[in-house]
Amino acid sequence: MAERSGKRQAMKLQNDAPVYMTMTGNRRQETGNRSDASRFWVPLAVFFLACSLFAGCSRLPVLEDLSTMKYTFFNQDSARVSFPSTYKGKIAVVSFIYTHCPDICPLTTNNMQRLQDTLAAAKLKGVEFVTMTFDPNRDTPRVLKEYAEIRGIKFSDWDFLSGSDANTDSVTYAVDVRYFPHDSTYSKDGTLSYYITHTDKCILLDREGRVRGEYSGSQLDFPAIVKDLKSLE
Amino acid sequence: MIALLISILMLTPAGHSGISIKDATVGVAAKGMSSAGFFEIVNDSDMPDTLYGVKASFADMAQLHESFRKDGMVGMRPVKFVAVPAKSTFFFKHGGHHVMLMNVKEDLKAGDKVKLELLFKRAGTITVEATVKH
Repeated sequence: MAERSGKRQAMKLQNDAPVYMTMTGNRRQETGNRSDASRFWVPLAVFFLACSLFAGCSRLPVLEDLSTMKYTFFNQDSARVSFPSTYKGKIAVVSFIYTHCPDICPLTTNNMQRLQDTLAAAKLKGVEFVTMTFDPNRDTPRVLKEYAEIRGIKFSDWDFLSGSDANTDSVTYAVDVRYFPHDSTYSKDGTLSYYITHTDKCILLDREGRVRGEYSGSQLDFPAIVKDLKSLE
Repeated sequence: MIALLISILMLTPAGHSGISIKDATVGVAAKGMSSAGFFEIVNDSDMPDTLYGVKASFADMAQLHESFRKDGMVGMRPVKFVAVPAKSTFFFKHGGHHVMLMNVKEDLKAGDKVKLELLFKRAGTITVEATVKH
């Protein structure tokens, strides 16, 4: 919003500029125009000061508003979580995975761990990590916990969520994360194994539960997401 | 004597075949989950070779796979073989070719060592020790 206001202000100044230039030949008028200009420059300076103070809190566009959503999920301890309302008041980085993925999803999880460490080192607090499975039938809370524990994940500010198919579909549809079963095969014990082709995405939620950024999870642009996180602080 | 010979063969990465395996790693995984193996195949010989299979006693199933990316979607599929031209290096790496390891029999923790058997048409079976990594 501030960015839009800024653009509007800049356009207004640009439109006024030729008027100012035509009066520079007249000293009295020029003085008078300085006064007129200050009417623009002072608010503009205040505006930019406010922008710097709030570090572009509105620099990022709202890509999707999830604030009215309340879908029930269960975290790695089987505790009920309402998504995204449980995380209201916090900035959240939400990634989407399935634990049977051997290549891309572990990269995403590793990147989330690195990001968590990066934020801790930078003393950026109040960021919650959420990893949601789009394979909830296999990824039960217990499985998610095992997946996380073997990776040494710190649960203090990180939830791994599993929910019903319907709730998972609702959330992922809203944030444009797609997935569908791909090749499948049977294990020796007759268990059906399948791979999932899926969107490689993690999202940034602001304190209101609105999507303010989207990134590749497995090829995470660290400088970009850290910059965006700081702008939402 | 036989044990010594086997040990020497295992410690010799590039035998007469000219094929050697470098930087073999396997991803961490809890028991019952999937993991992936990564490494470099270096072919120093003047002959091409073909990797056509893989065995891993610590997993229920091991397959040659490749990941693909299209229109923002990612997935993977089995591959039947990988050709390694003469005087070349082929990378099994994240986001590309990898060894799919399904239903690992024990927890694979960072720092653990596991063995992969790579089946080559010309070089035969090459056993490598892979380090478990995040």
